[in-house]
This record gives sequence, structure tokens and C-alpha cells, in this order.
Amino acid sequence: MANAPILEMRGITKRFPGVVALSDVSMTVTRGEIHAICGENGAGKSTLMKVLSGVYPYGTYEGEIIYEGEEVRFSDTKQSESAGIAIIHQELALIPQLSITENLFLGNEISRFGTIDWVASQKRARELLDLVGLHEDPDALIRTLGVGKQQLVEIAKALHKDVKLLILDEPTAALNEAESQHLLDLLTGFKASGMTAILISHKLNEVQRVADSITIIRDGKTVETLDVTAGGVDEDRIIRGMVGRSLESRFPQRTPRIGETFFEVRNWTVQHPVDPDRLVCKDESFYVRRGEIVGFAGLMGAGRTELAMSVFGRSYGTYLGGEIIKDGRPIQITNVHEAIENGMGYVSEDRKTLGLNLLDTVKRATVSARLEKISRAGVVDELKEYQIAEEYRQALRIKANSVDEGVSKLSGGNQQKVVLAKWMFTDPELLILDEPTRGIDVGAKYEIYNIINQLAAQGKGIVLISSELPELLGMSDRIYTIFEGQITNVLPAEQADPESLMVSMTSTRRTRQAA
Amino acid sequence: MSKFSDGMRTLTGGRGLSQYSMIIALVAIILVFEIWTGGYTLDPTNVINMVQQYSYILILAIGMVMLIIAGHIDLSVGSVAAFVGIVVAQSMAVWHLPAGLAMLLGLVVGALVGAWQGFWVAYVRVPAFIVTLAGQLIFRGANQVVGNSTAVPTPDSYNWIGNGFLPDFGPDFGYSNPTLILGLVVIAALIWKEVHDRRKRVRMGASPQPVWVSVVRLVLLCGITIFATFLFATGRVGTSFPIVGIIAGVLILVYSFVTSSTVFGRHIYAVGGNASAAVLSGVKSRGVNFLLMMNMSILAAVAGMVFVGNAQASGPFDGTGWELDAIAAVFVGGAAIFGGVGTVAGSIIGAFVMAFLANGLSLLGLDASWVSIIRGLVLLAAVAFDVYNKTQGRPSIIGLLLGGFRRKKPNITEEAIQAQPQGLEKPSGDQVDKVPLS
Amino acid sequence: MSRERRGTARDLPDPSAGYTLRDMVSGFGGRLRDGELGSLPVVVGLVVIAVLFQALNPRFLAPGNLVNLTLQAAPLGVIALGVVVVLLVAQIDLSVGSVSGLASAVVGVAAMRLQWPLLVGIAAAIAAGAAIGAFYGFLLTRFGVPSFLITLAGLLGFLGVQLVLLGPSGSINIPFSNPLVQFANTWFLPPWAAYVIAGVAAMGVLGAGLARRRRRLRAQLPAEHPSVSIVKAVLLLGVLCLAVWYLSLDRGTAVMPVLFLLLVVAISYLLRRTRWGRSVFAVGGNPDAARRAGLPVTRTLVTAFMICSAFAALGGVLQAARLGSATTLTGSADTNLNAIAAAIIGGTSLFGGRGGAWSAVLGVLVISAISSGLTLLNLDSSVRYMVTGAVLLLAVIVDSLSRRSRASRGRA
Repeated sequence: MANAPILEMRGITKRFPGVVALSDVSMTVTRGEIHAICGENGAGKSTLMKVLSGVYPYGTYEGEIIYEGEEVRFSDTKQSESAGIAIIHQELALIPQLSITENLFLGNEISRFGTIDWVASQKRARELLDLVGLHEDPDALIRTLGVGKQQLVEIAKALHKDVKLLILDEPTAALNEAESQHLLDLLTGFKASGMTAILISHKLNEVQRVADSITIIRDGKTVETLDVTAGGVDEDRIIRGMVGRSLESRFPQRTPRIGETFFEVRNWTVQHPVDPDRLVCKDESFYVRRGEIVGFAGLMGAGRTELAMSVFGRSYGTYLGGEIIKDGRPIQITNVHEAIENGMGYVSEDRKTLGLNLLDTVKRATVSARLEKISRAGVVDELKEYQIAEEYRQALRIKANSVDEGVSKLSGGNQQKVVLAKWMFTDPELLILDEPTRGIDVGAKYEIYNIINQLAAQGKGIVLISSELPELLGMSDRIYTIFEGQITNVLPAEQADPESLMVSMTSTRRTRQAA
Repeated sequence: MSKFSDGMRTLTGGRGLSQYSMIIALVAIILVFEIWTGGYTLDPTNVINMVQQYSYILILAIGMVMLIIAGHIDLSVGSVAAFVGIVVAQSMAVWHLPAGLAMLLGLVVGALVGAWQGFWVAYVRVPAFIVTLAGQLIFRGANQVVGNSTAVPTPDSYNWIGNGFLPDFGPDFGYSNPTLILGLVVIAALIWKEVHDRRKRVRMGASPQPVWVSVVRLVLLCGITIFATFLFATGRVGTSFPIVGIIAGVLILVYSFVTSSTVFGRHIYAVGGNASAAVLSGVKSRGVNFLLMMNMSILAAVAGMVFVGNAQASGPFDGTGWELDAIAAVFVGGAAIFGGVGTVAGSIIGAFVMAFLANGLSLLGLDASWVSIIRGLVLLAAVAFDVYNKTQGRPSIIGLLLGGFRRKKPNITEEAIQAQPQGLEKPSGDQVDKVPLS
Repeated sequence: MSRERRGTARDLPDPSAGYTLRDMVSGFGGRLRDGELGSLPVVVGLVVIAVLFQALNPRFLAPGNLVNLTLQAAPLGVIALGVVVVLLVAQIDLSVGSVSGLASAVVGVAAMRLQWPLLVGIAAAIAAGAAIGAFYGFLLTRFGVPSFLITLAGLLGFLGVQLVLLGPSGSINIPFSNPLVQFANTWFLPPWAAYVIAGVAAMGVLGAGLARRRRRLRAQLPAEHPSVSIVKAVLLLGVLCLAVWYLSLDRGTAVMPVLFLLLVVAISYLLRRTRWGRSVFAVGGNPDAARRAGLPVTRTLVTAFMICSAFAALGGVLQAARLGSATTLTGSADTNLNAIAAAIIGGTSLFGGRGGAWSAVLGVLVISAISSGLTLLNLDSSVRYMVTGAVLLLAVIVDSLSRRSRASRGRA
């Protein structure tokens, strides 16, 4: 505490309708340090940074922010920017069709007499690119650059604005090893020249390497702040802070009855849809047995959703190789329709944009993935539709006035139940659930867990993708861990614990080898 | 009070006032012109004329609403109709094809044109409005090439589809007998449907509607039918219900059924409502788009052929501006500019609004310039009404006012995820761990 | 004409190496291999069109016809220039034809019926255009109504206003003695002046190139070798002089096309060298990112629509001037599509963010050449409609496909 703090956030509380995202969070960032914020997905890290940068303006949160010794009340990002706070989001704010130079000065052009001075811009661009160590022609278009280089351009852009506090939100999530390395070196270099940085990262090895102090947030509350420079902080220590909650009995009891292996994916390799240099699935293999709940653990951007969607009718990325074996026979699935025909179902991660047509009523949504089942000669039997929807509404206890109610009027948990009903109606043998309980309150969660257990008890294979380790540990029979598009480990649930999973989720390091 | 408004909602097909408002608009327009023209608007001769002259709007609106539900549009319908019309006329004038065969040829040409445009829209993913904008010019030119830029007359054996009437028979009561019979059939059908629907709802175990709702609805619909029947039955001697009315009526029934009760119909709404979710539910969206484009051109062919029959000739300027009539009809009829919402029935009401408007304006002898301005304003007003409706009490108002000028693409954005936690049922203290932000 | 973007080597350029003629040539080849065809297909297409029509009718390339072609192309070109701006922000204006017709009627009414001074009439027409654009922009940004729907309604509405203004006779003749008509039909540059302009343009390119080189060297940036600027300037001078000479075999270089080219230079400057121009590209490329970068998205959209409609109005005025009358047919039928097609053919993307002012020139040359050739062949308007429609469709398909192929190569 030799240096004066550049930033103090005190008692920040941020509520969303029905949810408290941050509750009384406090943190202090010392001038000239790299301060990391760690926490599980959904712990509230990004929300905290949005409060700081003015994305959530003053007045929408409680608590105070002291920056450079004064209380600040930003009402938009412009104000925080002019105060010298720059935030680099996970989605970049670059225009792909414009060149590096043009992007660097977008909204901040160097001009003489109202005319953009391209020569001066270029000169400055070169200086900035040198600063971030990007050896590219400043006239190169952004879309010709990889994600890593685009990230560097974003940082250069922040440097041009004379930034005092640089916030990086998961900067290395989409980068490869060398690029991440470069970026971290860069941060260390900036620190040496007096800049303060806040780093949000899931990659704990990186955090441990560059950070001077670490604030751990869990469930919207600050858990602790670790002083790395004092020593004694290693990855395991951070993990303990991140996951250190006890497993309550939030999961219904189940006695698994596991049958034979019926679904297998071998050597699955998929390319990123727009970036041909990136593989989102690298030679992944896994299998599912009847009546088994298989968990997939991985941090955001690890490639869980990408794997699930590409297996489900190649609906993501470019398929490069791998085979799907069902009941001992290899099957060809090239579109979603075939996937459904072959007994697969996929409950998507984002129900509003991928799972539901929000203009539908409950009954129309319920039958929408398998209309053939209730139609003859292409004509939908509305009586059956109604009966089936009603059946699911009662079985899943969907809280809607009637099945004629619009799904947009339902709460998140009930919408999710509709999505579940929709896929249960297709009668899948394998059901992939991608973050099935995200944004859902505790009561509804428990009900959804019950439904999942019932499905497993019926002999269906369940793939459960989740960011919440307790959920995976509480629900699954077997857990695969994914890191950077690779399956790093597989453990029977009884042998797994949060720490060991987190290790395999954040590196290719394995703890215990399972059978 | 709430019971009454519930009844109102069921009366209006579950869509509340928005479906109501276009009926009000239709009635208002009819009344205004009825007064303005000194009672001539609802004169039997005029009504029969109007059906014959403007049936093309009805036919086009059917195809257009399906396209707009799926999130596309077709600006070429007028030119396609004119092109098909001239091909049909020439085939009879030059090759001496019999009328029936010529009509078949017309449908085939329409299907080919639709396949051509559908290919670019569905498989190359060129935006539909620009493909059909080019089509507007191409098929207008093709019309003039085939017809040498002159009008080609069509034989009487063909013209009955445009200006024919149901043949009269039986004793003379002073009314047209076939029209009366048609009216009775329609009334019987309405009653049967109401009873059937009520039974179905009872079998579904749903709360049956209050009886008065059914009665009011039946009385209203039957009243309109009886009124219309007498209008058509009391026209000049030798007139009765026009053939084009039958054609349009059959198309309306068929397509209402297709959009509301078939798998294909569900797929149209799915693609328009959320294309990504539709694909992830196994809908083959490209096929749907292709078929819709093709269907639109076939209906444009029908509209063109009917129009030619009524005019007794196919001319080089047939069909100019038809696309605007059809699009305006669809939006007046309650479809949403961004797709996913709309009904054939609503669009038909919209088409009647446009037809009465055009008819009334021409009865008043307003010149073309004002008609053009008014049609433009109606289109704008209908679109604005949709946007206004959307901004009523929905969260999108902020997005719209703060410059959400473009439809959010269905990708996983932070905003989308943020939008989720609203309206959870039981806000309790222990909720922190489901904050959907990372 | 545009700054060389990707010519230099990808690695850190050695400041001393600079940019030579060889780089220019190899950079060009590299772009071809990358599938970034730029304006090459259009130029090739233009040559093909010229050869084809010349073979069918030897009068096609005669000086007289080419002079007519330049006169014919200028009003359409002005309209297309406005469309380019709107396309760059990823919007569209389907009403440019009606707006141009309306403007011609405004000028006719103001100058002939009301006897206003000519310039006031023209200003009124252009102001009306700008007001229409502002209205579109307002509806779009405030309510989110898609631009193609707003302008579709505008197409119909303003056509009506045009007809109302023209009154029952349907046309207003502007006598040949009127300076506006003279400007559009009989004002030709004296040959020496045309050569001087050509020379000034070439000197401008040379001077700008050398000045840039000097400043870049001073800033220790790699710069073009002087030979690049010299060759560019010489080429430009040669082409311009050849054109002037050839046109002078007939009536010479008309003033109206020169005005059009000046407008193109001005818009090109605005797009490339001002903040407004940057935000146009940014908004068209990725509106969300533009908003995140803090750009004035709403203002950019509104101004783009204002420029488009104002240019459409000016184009309509020039059209009326060229025909010596404002009629119900001014701006009708295919003006709309010709202007949109010209912008897209010239290389401005329908999907926003890609293109530039010069694409209006190339596109309008193609469209006018086809139209002039077909007229020479005595083919009537029907064929012209079809050909224009087909060319528009072709341009859009190429645009869509190239966007997809760029996307599949990770460059969208």
C-alpha cells in the first residue's frame, strides 16, 4: 500500500429486475499495478466493469467510485473515456472494412482545418503499432487481421486516447498461446511505464504470472483480495477462492441406471466459421451411455457450445472431420433435420435468440421442432397440438394462463421449460442441454434438474453443458473438461471436485487420469 | 369488465384491438366514400365493378403477406403479372391456344419466373427487394418485347375469368339465383364453422367461449354476408356474383388454411419470427424462402390473367404500381415490417381497404397525382402504425428511440443475455448465482 | 484514384524501401489473386460493351455519339453519386427517380410559371430534395422503419407531388433561350480550356503525390517513389487529353459532365478526408461497432439521406435542363433503377461500407453506354428495361457472392 490508489470502488450494488448482480462489491486498485479480477462465469466481473466505465450510468447502481481521489459519476462511456479509463470489451469495436489507421482514430481523427491529416495519422499509427508491437502495414484492413492482432489494434486505439486505466475483459479468450504471451508481455511493459490495468481473465496461469493483486468475486460479492507480490498465491489458491462455496443439497437425488454406450463422437474437428486459422474443436472424442448424464465443463469461449452445435446437424462452423456413431453404426448428419430424425435434441444456450420464436404461443412453440408427429399430409392436427402442449404444460408445471399464451410473456424459467418441452416432444435419445439453467431462479432450477433426471431415468442420454461447477458436480455421472477446443480430461463425478475440474478447464494439465 | 375484454379478445381472434382497428378503418373508408359519392359506393353496379377491377389486389395480397411474414418482399408483382398477361394473350392470338391451355401456360410462366427470383433470394441470398426491383424492370421489358408495346386483345372464351358471372338459372325472383345460393352456402358454412370450433374447443378441454361472443360474431358475419349477397344479387340484369370473386374466394380459403393449419404454414412463421431458431428446430429455411417466392409469382400470374380477362386485352402498362397496392394492403392488414406476424385474413381486409380507396378516389374523379400521393401516404401510415404498435409498452421502444435502426441479428450478444433476467417469478434473496453476466 | 491500400509488403516495411512502380504492379497482381477485383471487371465490361456496339453500329464510338453520351450520363451520374452515399451507410433510397422528377417540376414551376430568378428556382429544388432526405433520415433513425419501405412510400408520394406541380398539362417547357437549357446543351469548353483542365488535374495528382511523398519522408514513413506519381500523372494526362481531343472532333467537352466530375471529386474528398466520411464507412460497415466507438450514428445516417436526395434533386434539374422541359416522365420508370444499378455496378456494395464516389462514374458510363448503344440499334425502351434490370441483378449477385466468399475466407 505504498502507492496511492488510483481507483476505489465502494459498496457497489447493481440490481437487474429480480436479480442482484452485484452486492456490496468493493475493490481498490493501486496506481501502476496490474489488478486481476477472477471469478466464475456469471460472478459479476463484467457487470462491475460496466458500472465502472459508465455503460451502466450513475444512478442505476448503488455505491461510490473514487477515481484519482475524487468521486466520479459517469453517465456514459464518453465521460469515463475522457477521464482516462478505457475498456476493451470481448466484442471489439472495430470496423472490419476500414484500415488499421482509420480504425485507430475513429471518432478521434487527427485533422488540420477540418481535413483528416492522413500523413500525421499514419505517423502516429506507426508509433502506436510499435508500442503494441504489431508489425502490420497500417493501411491493412482490419478484416485481414486475426483476432489477436485486432485486439492489439484495440489496445493501440486506447493508448491514443491517453489512457490511465486500461480494462481488459477476457483479452486472451480468443487468442492462441503466442498471441496471449505477447499481449501479457505488453501489459507488463505498460506497467513499467506507469499505466494501471485491470485484467479480467479465466486463464489463471496468466493471471498468476502478470497480476500484482487479484480480487476474487463470487456470486456478486467480493470474496477477497490477494496480494500476489507478497507470494504464496498460486493457481490452486485462486481456484479455492473462486469455487469455495459448499455444495448445498440443491440437486434432487437420483440413482443412475446406466446402460450401454449408444452415442459416440470420434475425432471431431471443426473450423471457426469466419476465421479459417482457428479450430474450435480439435480432434475431440466423447461418448454417451443410455441413462447417463454427461457433464461438459469449460470456461466461456472454450468451445463447448461450438462442439454441441456442430455435432447437432453441423449448425456451427465448418466441419473438417470426425464421425458420429450411433448404436454401433456410423451415421451421416449434415443438417438439423437429420439430427432430429436421428434422435438428437439441442436446447440452446441462448433461448431468446436461438431457442424460441418469441412470437409463438406456448402450444406452437411446444410442437415446433417435430410438427410431423402431429400432422397428416402436411396438415397440423390442432386438437392434438393442444392436448400435447397441455400435457407438457402440466407435466413440466409451466406457469402460463393457457397454452395459447405468448411465450414472450413468460418468465425466463418458464420459457426454458417450454424449450425443454419442445425438445422432449421430439422424443430424442440424446438431449444436449447447453446452460439450461442460466438466468433462472432457484426454484425453477430445481424443477429443471428434476426434469433432467426424469429424462435420464427414461434411458435417454443427456449432455449437460454448464459453467456452474456445482451444477455439473451435482447432476452429472461423468464430466468432460474442455479447454481451448480440446477435451482435456474426463472424470467420474464422484472422483471430481471443483478444484480438479478448474485445473483441467484452465490448462491442458491433468490432475487424475480417469478410466 | 375483464370478462368483457376477454370476450373482445376472443371475438377479434386473440389479437386484441389491432385486428379490430383495420376493420374499423375499412368501415370508416366505406362510410366516408359512401357519403362523399352520394351513396354510389355501395351501389350494386359499383360493387360488382370493384370486385372485377380490383380483385388483383386481393390475389396479390395473399402471396405478399406470406412473403412479408417470412421477412421478404416482392416488388416485381406488377411486372410479372403484366408479363404473364401478355404471354397468355399472345399465345391465344398467335398460336391460337384454347383459353384453358393458355391459362395453364400462364401459371407455368409464373412459376418459372418465381423459381428464377426465388433461386437468387433463397440460395444466393441476394436481398429479395433488390432481386425483385431488377425483376420489375426485366419483366416490364419482357412484357413489351412479347407484346411489341401494344395492347393485345383476348377472346371472349378467355375473358369470362375476368368479367364473367355465375350463370343464372331457375325462376326469376328479381334476384340472381346463383348469388342467393352462394350466399346461403356461405352462411351455412359460417354457422357450421362456429359450431365446429366451439366443439373443438370443448374437446380440447379449453374454456369454451361465452355464448354471446359466438352469437355476436355469427350475427355480424352473417349480416355482412346477407348484405353482400343482396348487393351482388340486385345488380344490372345479367350480372350476378363475378367469377373473379369466386377465384379470389377460393384462393383466400386455401391460403388461409395453408398458413394457419399446415406444417408449411408453421414454417413460414418460424422463419420470419426467428430464422436462427427455426433452422435449429429443423426447418429448411432456404426451401421455404424459395417456395414463397415462387408462390408469389404464381399468384401474380393469376392476378395478371384475371386482370387481362376483365380488360379484354393485355397492355404494356398493365400492373404498374400493383406491388404498392399489395404491400400497403398487407401492412394495413396488420403484418409486421420485420416479419413473423400477419394473417391472410387481415391482408384481405387490408386489400379491401386499398380497393375501396382506389375505387372511391376514382369515383370522385381525383386525378392520378393525388391518387399517387394518397397511396404513398397510406403505405407510410400503415408501416408507421405497425412501428407505433410495436413501441407500445414493449421494451423495444428504447431500442427504437435510441437508434436501434436495424433489426438485431440473432447472434449471441451481451444485450440479449442481459435482457434475460427480467420477470423472474419469485425474487428471493438467494439469487446472486444466476446473474447471467460473466 | 484511391490510395493504395495493400500494396506495401505485409511485414514491417523498411522505411527506406518505399513504394515503387514495381510494387504498384505487383500489388495490383496480388489483389487480383486475392479476388479483390476492384474496378477491373467494370472497366473490362465497358470495353466489351464498346467493342460489341461498335461492331453492331459503327456510329457508336463516333465523337458525336460520345459527346451525347457524356451529356446523357451527367444527370444520371449525379443521382447515382447520391445513391453511393446512401449505400455506403448500408441503406437504400428507392425514390431518387421521383425526387429528381419532383425537383425538375419545382424548377419548371419556379422559373417558368412563377418567373423566379433561375438560381433561386434551382436552389429551391435542391432544398426540397435535402428536406425530403432529412425526413427519410428522421423516420429511419427515430422509428426504425426500414429505409426501403420509407422510400418506397416516398417513391409513390413524391411522384404524386410532381404531377400536382406540373398540373393538368403534364409538362412545363423551358425555352431554349433559358440559360439552364443552354448550360445543359450548348455549353462546351473551348478546347484550350479543356486541355488546361486536363493539365491542371494531372498536375494536381503529381503535386499531391510529391507533396505526400515529401511529408511522408519527413515523417519517416515509407513513401512512393516519385516515378509512381509521375507515371500516374502522365497516364491521367494522356487519357484526359485523348478524350478531350476525340470529343473536340465533334462539339467538344461539355460543361455539364465536368460539373459532375467536380462533384465526384468533392464527395470523394468528403468521404476520404473528413470525420464525416469516416463515420459513413464505419456506420455502413458495422453500426454496432460504430456506436461503441462513439460515432454520431444518427447524424451520419440523416446527412447521408440528405445528400442522396439533394443530389437526386440536382440530377433532376439537370435532366430537365437537358430535355428543355419538365414533364411527368422526368425521373420516371428506369431512372431509379439506373441510378441504383450504376452505383452498384461501379463497385459500391449494397451491404454497406464498401465503395466510393468514383464508382458512380464507372457505373454511369456502363449504364449510359448500354442505353446509348441500344438506342443506336433502334431497340426500344423495352429491351433497355430488360438489359438494365439484368445488369442490376448481375451487379447485385456479384456483390452478394463476393461478400460470401470474403466471409468464407474470414474477411467479412
